[in-house]
Amino acid sequence: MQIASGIGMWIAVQLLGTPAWRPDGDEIRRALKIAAGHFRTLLPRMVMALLMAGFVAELIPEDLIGTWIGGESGIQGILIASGAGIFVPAGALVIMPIAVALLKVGVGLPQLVAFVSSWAIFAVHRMVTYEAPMMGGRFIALRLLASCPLPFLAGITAGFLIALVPG
Amino acid sequence: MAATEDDKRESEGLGNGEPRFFGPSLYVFAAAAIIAGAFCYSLKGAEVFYRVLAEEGALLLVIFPRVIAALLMAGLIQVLVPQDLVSKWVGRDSGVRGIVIAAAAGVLTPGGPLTAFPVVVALFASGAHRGALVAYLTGWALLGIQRTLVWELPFLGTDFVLLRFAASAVLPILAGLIAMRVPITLTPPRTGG
Repeated sequence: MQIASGIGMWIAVQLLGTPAWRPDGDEIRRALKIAAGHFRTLLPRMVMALLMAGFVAELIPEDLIGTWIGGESGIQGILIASGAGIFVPAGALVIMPIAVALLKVGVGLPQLVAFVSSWAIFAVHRMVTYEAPMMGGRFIALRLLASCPLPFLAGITAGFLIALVPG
Repeated sequence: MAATEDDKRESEGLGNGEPRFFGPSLYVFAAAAIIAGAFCYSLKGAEVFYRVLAEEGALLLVIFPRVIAALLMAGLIQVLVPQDLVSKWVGRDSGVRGIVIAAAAGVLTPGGPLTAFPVVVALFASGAHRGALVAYLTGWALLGIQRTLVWELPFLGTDFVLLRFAASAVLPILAGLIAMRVPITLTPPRTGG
């Protein structure tokens, strides 16, 4: 999959090389400042989140994960993973170390796709803090109803894709 | 929208508050790490505890350069993608085409909820179709490029990101299409006042 990374970088270079998109000095400075600000906030929290996830991964019994959402758990595992993602009311900085920890203890890839997708869509913390006050309960109901099947579908599709591409 | 305390507070950790090293969320993270570590030490023993420290330390070293690269990219995206470009192509109730455009715009929308939700509210108020609104938010939430680059790529790697992207590419559009059929009535917010 080095090819994919190579293509990605090439696209990025082309994008940034287009005159309309090429950032000037000011914009580069602004971008760097934004990035540096992110980094200052991010680094200590990432260290803590990684440590936490590492410890939690040791505490979760491996066979529990393997049985319910492991590589062999199939459609049932995808359903469970889709449900589990709803119960992580925290930001990306928490879910990503959890995802890494799950990989360590043997979660299946389609199940992990369903898990991450479910978290991304339902994002309870975000719903309560932003979506409810800004868009109202009816919009949330509409969006959730329309999005219910999505994590499951993502997991199933991922399973197909994996089966299609050998190795 | 006036700046409120919510604007100052970190939302997804980045991008929407003043950048700071210490802060309430750091204490929560640290507490979680300490508690989990204590449990691990007492239940699994010192050897496991130190092994985890070493493993996570090694993982951090791998993630570090990726995060730096991703943050630079994120900063550039935030600077280079103009807000009005996004608004121009979404925000009309042109049915399926509007849904597709909205989904794509959502995917390209950088930043956290405080970037995406004001856009959604503005679109809603100016008459965007419910399908477009749902497609936009779903595209942003599920496949938002900046968030994927910054958060998912460093931790889970290119292969997983590509897999999830490919598996989910059509889903925001699907959500928008389903939303058109859902029997819930929406009234746009009153603008002004």
